[in-house]
Amino acid sequence: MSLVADRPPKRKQRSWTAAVRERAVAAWPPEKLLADKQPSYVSSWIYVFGVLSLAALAVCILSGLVLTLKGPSWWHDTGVGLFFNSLHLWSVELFFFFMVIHLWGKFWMAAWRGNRVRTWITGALAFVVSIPTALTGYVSQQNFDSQWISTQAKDAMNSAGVGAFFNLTNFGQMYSYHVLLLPGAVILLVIGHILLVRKHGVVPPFELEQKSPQTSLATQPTEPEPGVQA
Amino acid sequence: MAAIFNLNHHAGYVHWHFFAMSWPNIIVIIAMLIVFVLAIAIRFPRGHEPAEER
Repeated sequence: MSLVADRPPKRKQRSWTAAVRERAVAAWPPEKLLADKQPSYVSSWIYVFGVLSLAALAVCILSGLVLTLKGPSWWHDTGVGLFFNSLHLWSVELFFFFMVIHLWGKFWMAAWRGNRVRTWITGALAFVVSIPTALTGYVSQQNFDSQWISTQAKDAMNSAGVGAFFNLTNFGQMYSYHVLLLPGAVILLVIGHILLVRKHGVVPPFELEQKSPQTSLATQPTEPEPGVQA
Repeated sequence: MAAIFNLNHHAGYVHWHFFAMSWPNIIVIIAMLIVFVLAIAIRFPRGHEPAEER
């Protein structure tokens, strides 16, 4: 009778950093994370609106950083400040404009197909969280517009039963939400969304699925099939 | 925008039964619908790259 033989094999000691690295590289190998080729069906204008949303978000964040550094008197009273104020406003307008078209396009493509549910959910959440991010920006302008919007929105929030958690007429609270908490959430959601798009690939149009009899909504491969013209 | 249109007044509203929306919002939504349809309908420029992959 051997005690050594009964003993379970000794576990290999691994650090958590190595485990995270191995999992990350397995999920996002470099050629997938920073792909230089896309399937031919991506050559359509409707696929452009995701990256247009990202570009608008980048301008929005950069212009917002400048506004945060300089403060309300600068963005209201100087020419350059007014320019950055307008840049911030119009980048938000374009962000929502492009994001809504992106959402419509993906909805009619049923972009949650092929194990892409989490991609869809993170995109939808990014859209939902962007709305209070914009609202807190409108009430942080420090002008008559923001006073009007905050008092109107306060009544709306109270009527919806969520007014006990925050006060839209409290500039300090709304400004903190706008420059830190909510944009942080939007950025994290967008990063997660992009990583999931990189992992699962861009959703193929329905025509490609119908050409392949083996693939169905339930069994479609995670990776889109390249080389077929949409 | 303000150089082209006079924006120094309150926005007009469309009221129809329960529906109430400002004209600027209606115009933006119509513009989004138009861009959405055009994005599907207009052919994407392909350049000189192979048809299989871009």
